[in-house]
Amino acid sequence: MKRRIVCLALSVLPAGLIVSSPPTPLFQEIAAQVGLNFRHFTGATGEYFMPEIMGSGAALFDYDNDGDLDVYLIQGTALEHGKKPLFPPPAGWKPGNRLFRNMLSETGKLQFVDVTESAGVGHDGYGMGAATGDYDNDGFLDLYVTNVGQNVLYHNNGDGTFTERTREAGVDDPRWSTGAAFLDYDGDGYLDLFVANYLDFTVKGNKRCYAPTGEPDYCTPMAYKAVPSRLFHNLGHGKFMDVTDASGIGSSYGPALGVLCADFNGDDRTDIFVANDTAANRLWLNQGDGTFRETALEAGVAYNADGRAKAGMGVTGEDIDNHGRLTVLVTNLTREGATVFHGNDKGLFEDVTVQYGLAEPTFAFTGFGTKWLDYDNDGRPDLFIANGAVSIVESLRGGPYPYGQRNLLFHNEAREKFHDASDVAGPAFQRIDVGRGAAVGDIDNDGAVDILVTNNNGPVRLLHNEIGPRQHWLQVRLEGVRSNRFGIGARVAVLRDGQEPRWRRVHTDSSYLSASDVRVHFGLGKSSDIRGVMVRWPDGSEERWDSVQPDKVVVLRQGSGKPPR
Amino acid sequence: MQAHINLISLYGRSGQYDKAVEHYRAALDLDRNQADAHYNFGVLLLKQSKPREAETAFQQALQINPYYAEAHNNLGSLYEQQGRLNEAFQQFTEAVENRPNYRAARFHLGRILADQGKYDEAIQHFLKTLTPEDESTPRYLYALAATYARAGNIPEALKYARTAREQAAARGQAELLTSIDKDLRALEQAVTIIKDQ
Repeated sequence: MKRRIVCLALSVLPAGLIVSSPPTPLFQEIAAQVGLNFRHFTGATGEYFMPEIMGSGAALFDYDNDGDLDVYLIQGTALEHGKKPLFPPPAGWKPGNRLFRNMLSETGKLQFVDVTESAGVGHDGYGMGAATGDYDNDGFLDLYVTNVGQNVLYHNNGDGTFTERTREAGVDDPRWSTGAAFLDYDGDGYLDLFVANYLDFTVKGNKRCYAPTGEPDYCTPMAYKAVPSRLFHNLGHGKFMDVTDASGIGSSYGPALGVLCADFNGDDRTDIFVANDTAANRLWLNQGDGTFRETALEAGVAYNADGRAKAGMGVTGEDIDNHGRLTVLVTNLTREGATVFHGNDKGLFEDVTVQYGLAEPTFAFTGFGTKWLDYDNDGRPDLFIANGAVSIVESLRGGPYPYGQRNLLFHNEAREKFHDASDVAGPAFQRIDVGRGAAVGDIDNDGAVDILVTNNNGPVRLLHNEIGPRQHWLQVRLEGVRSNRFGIGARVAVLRDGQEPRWRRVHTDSSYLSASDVRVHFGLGKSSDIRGVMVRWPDGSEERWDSVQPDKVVVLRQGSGKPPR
Repeated sequence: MQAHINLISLYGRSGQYDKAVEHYRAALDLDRNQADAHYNFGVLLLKQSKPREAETAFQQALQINPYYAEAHNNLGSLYEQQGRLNEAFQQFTEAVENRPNYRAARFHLGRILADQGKYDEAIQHFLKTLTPEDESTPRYLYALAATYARAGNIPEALKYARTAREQAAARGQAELLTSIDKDLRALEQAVTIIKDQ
């Protein structure tokens, strides 16, 4: 009887409503399922201290060299002690940053274990961001943590533990630091360090700001003064020298957040781009003599096409259309939209946001973490943006934390057009979070790039890529000998018959307050044919490897390849 | 709050000190931890030739915001006037660290270093005061020329002294022009003597 009723009900449904099965989501959120239990704590007590709304970031890196990516998450704390927090941490919560070890290589299963205490990386300052790089070339990635207050350099001992070496290395900074990046600006084989500093905020000097409706709200950066960023030159032997002044980096600055180190003008030197919040961005061109020249205005990346300085937060850069030059995307505030700067052969950039179809879909969002990534392995870099407001979202007014927005995913349609794929990307892209950091990397070594997203006052999300493994891929990890050990700053190209070389950068920086996987990922599409791989090392040398197999992670050691043809 | 802070400065500049004090008190009633209020009040006290009270005000500003470059610079000037050169040097150094393009603080640092015979370091600071150009540039150029002269580099001293002269003349800075002319003559004589030798 019951069965007959069901059949009758189905028969009266219009044909268009009968759906066979829902499409596979592009990404599945799996953080809690795999043991990434972490919730960001802002320490907010109702004073609206500005750092509460800005953090925090994360790092995706293989700290134990076991072949899989581990996760480091940056935590906040109470800025003013003795007051009850508005959003108390959950039961069982542990203060300080957390390191989660990936057990994939050991057990064959993607599962994380909190190893913070045994690794010795649980700094409990007011954390902002993380940068990764092997500064002493011992073969293990080290970790730099930015804070509101003293920063921390963790040296990776190679045995699963870290030692704090901030003071002896000489890379401390007491200001409010945000983004940071390891780069070898002088090509000496040792990674130097750039630290972005933001504002002269202090707890004691906190300023009171209000929403247009009169309620207290977080201040904009205009309420404070910018403080200068720092450049530290690696002297070798574990010591750095502050060259902010000598290099010229200190001569011009704004409220700095996102950092991208790459060659902007094709001279094979690593330059530094800084996304400034409500001030002109800065582009520091490497002069090759230990100094930098600020050229953002003349290069066309200081302002958008309307000549406006936007609220630059995150940044990402890659040669997304194989034309040999960077395309840089900067995330900004709601009602500003992201800005895409497309570079040409002369090192000049043009704002192509509207042309790329990215102006309108990003206009209603405050973007933070962002990355060009080829999520479907079709060979073209797509785009991810983590969103979350910094002032009250009207539609959420009255809610406990009215700053949430959904994240965005764009598919690269070729011919300089992007399509908003967020609606078909799965439930993870319908969730309202206060997105901040984003780090990308293949967390389960299935050949597809996954996304780690940190949320302000919320749980971390791990967006597992469900679609990428359907096509061919290649991942390359470099092993520098004369150049720095992980080849940061090198460029890697896949060579294929009948196609231009497709160049990608070796980096861990960019995005917002976050460090991504140092391995270079290539989507190969339906065909697995590869003629070879070419590497241009940071010391200027070039090598070619001919027998590279697809659908693998390959390690290329400097000096083991052939000279280029 | 911001209006009170601005009015301390505005009334101070126009010499209406009582009104400025009124707004300082009003700002403190609202929030004692506004570094700008203490700093503006310190500047007002300097104008009134009250160095001790000004020192306290700048220190209060720095307790709230240790990255306040202008407060470091003014405190450095006060210490220098009192002959506390090491403390002055420290304050100017912190001013430059927190605002590397702060030319006045670099000028002060350069002067102290030149007086200590550290000419190379002084010159590095003076060179960074030369851009962008404004009313202070002739004075900075003159200081750079003088330091080159003291370091025995007469050609560079002459080069910068001549530029300083041109700029001082263009800006109608008569007093400075007179001083530069005097030194320029001495420098040119020195060149003649060197050539004759």
